[in-house]
Amino acid sequence: MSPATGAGTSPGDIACIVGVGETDHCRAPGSGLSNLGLILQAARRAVADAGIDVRQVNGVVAPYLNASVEEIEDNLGLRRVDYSVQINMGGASPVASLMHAAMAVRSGRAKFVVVPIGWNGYSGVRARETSDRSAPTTFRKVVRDYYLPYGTGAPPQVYAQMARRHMQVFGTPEEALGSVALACRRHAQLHPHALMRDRTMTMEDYLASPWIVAPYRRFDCCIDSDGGAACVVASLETARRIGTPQPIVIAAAAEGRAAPGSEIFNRPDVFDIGLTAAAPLAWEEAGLGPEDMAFAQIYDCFTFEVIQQLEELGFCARGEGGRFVMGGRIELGGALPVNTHGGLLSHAHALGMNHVVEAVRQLRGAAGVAQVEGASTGVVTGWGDMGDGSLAVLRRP
Amino acid sequence: MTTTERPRPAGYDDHRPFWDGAAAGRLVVQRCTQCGAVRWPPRILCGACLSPEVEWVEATPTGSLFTWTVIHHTTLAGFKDDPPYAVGLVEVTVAGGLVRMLGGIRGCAPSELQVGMALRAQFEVVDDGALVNWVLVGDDERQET
Repeated sequence: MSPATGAGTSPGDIACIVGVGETDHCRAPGSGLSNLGLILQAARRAVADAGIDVRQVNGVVAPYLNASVEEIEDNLGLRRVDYSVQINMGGASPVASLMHAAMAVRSGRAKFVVVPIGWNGYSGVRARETSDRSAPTTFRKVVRDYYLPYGTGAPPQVYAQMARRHMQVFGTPEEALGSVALACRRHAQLHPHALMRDRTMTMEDYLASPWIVAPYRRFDCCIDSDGGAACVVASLETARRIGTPQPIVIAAAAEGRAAPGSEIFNRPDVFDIGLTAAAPLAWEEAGLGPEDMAFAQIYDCFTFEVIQQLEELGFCARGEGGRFVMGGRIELGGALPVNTHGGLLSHAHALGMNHVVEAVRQLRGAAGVAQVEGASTGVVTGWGDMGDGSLAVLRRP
Repeated sequence: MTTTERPRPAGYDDHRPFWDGAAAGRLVVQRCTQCGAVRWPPRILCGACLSPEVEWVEATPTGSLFTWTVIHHTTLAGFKDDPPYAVGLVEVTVAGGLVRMLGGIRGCAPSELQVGMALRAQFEVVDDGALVNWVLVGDDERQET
């Protein structure tokens, strides 16, 4: 068995996604469900997609927000939970959860692991002031004592400063950020349920959108929405036994935090993020590299974070991400389509689990008009507070 | 909107020397007495050598602008009426080390800001300590130094 999650030599050693599910995504007037209700609905849909009875699930990776293992266990009527964990990596949690789920099924401890997430990101915590401020981590204390008193603390107020540094040091133009916004918006127009499906955007529109936290304009910022998404992970052996039509292999999944983990601005190299260490781990374990990817679903809380993650994933050198995303390369039809559902910027903000769902949809060949022709491998990432990172390299069996 | 509605630091007791120093117009940061590594923000152990032994060393309260943002819209309590305002990271050299501190950037139109600009700390006493904001070092000041 290879070190963590990757493809082993026997089907029992290989983890795969056997089911995915999403709730409806919406803005006003809101989902009409509680946060937990969204999580449970997403979980049930993923379990249904897997074609199993929910009582076969014996592993739970609880989301970092809004639900405990016990609440999921009790509401889904699980008979036993032989493996459970709750991940606290902010927006990097859903993809990091794939690593934990994969390890659980590869060890044999769990047969089916459900990984749900959901929130009323629009109606419940609209215009949230900060990330989940009450969590007792060093990072929150740093924000409380050394960021908030200066009127800084919401995620874009932190990350905009990284974008500015990149623009100043590497000459990254504002049109590069705009290219990310445009690619996501164009892809959203091909997705039946994308919230920005009917709203076109041109570079002129992008440049004319108002400053929020310069250099971030309104169109650099993800949308707020209510919704949830989930997946079910099992071994390939199990998938074959139950006749899963199209299991999608987790060739590797990894998580990383840059040091120091609690203070993004005091790293020796300020552009080091979680993916800087995690991506090489995953590529090696998967036996695949950036050049093999048919698409990338990148956690796009803001446009620059897409550029930075593409650099740290190794799609281009650090500093070249701005030029990389320009000229249509990341749009469908380009060399590396990014966020083929529209991403957090234009599809919905399901905390990045919608990126996992989209990756699976692509690898099943079920992405409709947004299908990347012949896609057999792809990568999906998560991004959390202070640049925590996670990625999963997915492939057909 | 009164300033008392703004969020204040709550960790005074964790990092008492920093706040006492700031209230007295001094910028102090932690340095490991065992290996000499400077660290910011404060922590219990030295990440380089794991020693808990620490001293607080005073930095010359000047630095250079590392990066910044101009906040045009915010929902943060106490700041809703402030935009646009600039906040940035200031690189401060101290005791052979280098730390980056976040603070308000004042005395300059946001459009004039550039990486590397020289800044001077401006201490604003609040509650049990002082906030550290930064102002542009004027041409006359630079000639003096």
